[in-house]
Amino acid sequence: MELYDNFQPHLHRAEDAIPPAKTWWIWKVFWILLAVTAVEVGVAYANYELAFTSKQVLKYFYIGLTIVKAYYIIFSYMHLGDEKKSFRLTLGILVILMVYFIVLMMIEGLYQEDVRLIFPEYLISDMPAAAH
Amino acid sequence: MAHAQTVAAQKPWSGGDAPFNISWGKMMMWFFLVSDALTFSSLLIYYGATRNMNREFWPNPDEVYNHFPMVEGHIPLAFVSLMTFILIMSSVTMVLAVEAGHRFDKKGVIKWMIWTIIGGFIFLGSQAYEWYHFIHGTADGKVLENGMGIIHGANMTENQYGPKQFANLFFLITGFHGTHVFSGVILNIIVLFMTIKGVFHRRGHYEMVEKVGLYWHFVDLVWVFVFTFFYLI
Repeated sequence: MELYDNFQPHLHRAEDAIPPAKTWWIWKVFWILLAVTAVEVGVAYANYELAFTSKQVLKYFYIGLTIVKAYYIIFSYMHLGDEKKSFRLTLGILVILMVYFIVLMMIEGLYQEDVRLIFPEYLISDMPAAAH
Repeated sequence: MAHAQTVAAQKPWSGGDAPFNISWGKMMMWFFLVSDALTFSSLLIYYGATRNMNREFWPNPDEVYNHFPMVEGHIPLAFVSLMTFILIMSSVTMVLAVEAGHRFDKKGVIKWMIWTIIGGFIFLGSQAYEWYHFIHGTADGKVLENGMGIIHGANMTENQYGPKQFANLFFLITGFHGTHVFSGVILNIIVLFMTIKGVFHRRGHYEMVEKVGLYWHFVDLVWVFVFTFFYLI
């Protein structure tokens, strides 16, 4: 037990009085997350009705808002913002691998599509033969 | 013990003390979550690449996931938005449980953990509903390529929506996420019972609630990405 207990972040004793709750920041982040999700769904519905922009533009819009939500969850709810900068970098460096993999696979996917269109004999047999 | 701590504090990397001023448990939970994030990102990236390979065959998600319980007709996005709301809400109750743990408020931790567990179960039920409709499909279905019949809904080899990979990736990614939610609920229940028994009260800190909370927020975080890439785009 001593191995794990050498660091005790919020050590209290049983007889201590319970301080009042400070929860305003939790609800603030909740409203931000809810508002961003509502904007995403609202824009999607508006685009069904009005068709004001292409799906390609909306794609980047949605990805941007998703990253905003991810930022608030990670830095506020998971308290990463309160950790040391060196720890944040330790985790953040691994994200480079993800970005690299995303770029790699998107290029590869588009290239594979070209191959399939130029050489139809490579069409995978369980794909529908023609667009519907 | 006190002497060992002061010595270790001078040399944080020489062992016996947690670096970065975080306890070992929390640090290892973070490292596990990052590795799990790499797993999920490779699944989602493969989804994106497959979609790029089959752009003209890929179904429009609004035409696939457009059902809502007890409502007739097609309502795209409504049900998954509700699921997102439920998961964000249970994330909020989890933060409130962690916050109550910081203040050593045992009753508060119990109350908010119970709400978190309820949210988790509602989410799992919603996902079961989603899978039920995906597997059973619509009454029209689609004529099979070989003309030998009509397929309704989806299985591992055929589906009415589009390429085989579309259904397989749906089962894989939402299933893998659902497994995470399920194990998160189990962990939450274990921590709830430990709280009720007063284990953390005697230990002097509620850090275990915080570690389980990290996992629960991660599950929410993955859902935010699944929501975008499966249902919005």
